[in-house]
Amino acid sequence: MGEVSRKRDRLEVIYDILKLISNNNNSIKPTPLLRKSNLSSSSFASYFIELVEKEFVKELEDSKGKKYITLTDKGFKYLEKYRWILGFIEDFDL
Amino acid sequence: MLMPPFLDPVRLGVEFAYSAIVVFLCIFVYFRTKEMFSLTKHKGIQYFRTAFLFFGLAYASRFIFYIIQFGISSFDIFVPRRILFPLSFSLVAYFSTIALAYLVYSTFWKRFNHKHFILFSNIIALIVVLISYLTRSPLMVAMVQLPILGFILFVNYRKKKSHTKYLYLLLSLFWMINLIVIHSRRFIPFEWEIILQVLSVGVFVYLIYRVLKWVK
Repeated sequence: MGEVSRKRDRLEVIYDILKLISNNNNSIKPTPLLRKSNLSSSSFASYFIELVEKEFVKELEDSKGKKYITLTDKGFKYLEKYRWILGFIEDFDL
Repeated sequence: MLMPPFLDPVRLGVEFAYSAIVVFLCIFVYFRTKEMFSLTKHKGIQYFRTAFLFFGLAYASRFIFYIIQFGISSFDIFVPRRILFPLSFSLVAYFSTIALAYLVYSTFWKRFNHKHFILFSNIIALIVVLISYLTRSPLMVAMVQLPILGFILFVNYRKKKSHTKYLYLLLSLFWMINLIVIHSRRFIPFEWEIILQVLSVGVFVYLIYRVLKWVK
């Protein structure tokens, strides 16, 4: 992640965002996640809404009112299956 | 129930086994890719799955058409054969055209993302249904579907690295051979029919092998 020169496709962006959360002990604040994801604020917002709707991530609030983003079981499953999904898409020219 | 003299029970059994295997394999592909689709909502996966759902329906309706064509359907008691025959054949024409259209579109939807693809494919399928109704000829339906096969050839020929070039071509080709076989069944030796069916099942088994490589 980080130096991304080519345009990433939708599945790859989702994978990168989920991987960032997972690599951060499954807990990251929204602002660092936006920064590390290499996306514009508007793109990030739309991806984030999609991830929440798909139940890949959830937003939690600690006792001080600070927001954290964590992966759900479905999010972990996506990370686990990502390589297979990409392989399938490539193999069948989808 | 009396069977017409031209219908061999062995042939009927083989036809049933063949249809059941292919329908099972198509439905298997559809359900095994369900999780992949629900995780990604990827349009290519969606079109691919839908193609095999419709292939399954096409092969199932082809078998129903087969038993009605040779006059052994007990449905005749409730619905006359003159209604059942065009009805079952229209289903064959509709499901198979949709299956072929989705299969082709699954490979190039990124380059040609048409908003009205579902409407467009249904219009084509309904035109094929109309032709099937007017001609009542599986051979004619195969001829009308031939341009779709030509399109598969064209799309894959342009791709330098295509993993599905021959697989999709064979799937479509065998479907059309199946239509031709059902059209001219009385002139095709039973042994040839079995060879074609075994080869057709082989293509589906190879497809399943390819799917199972990625769907754990």
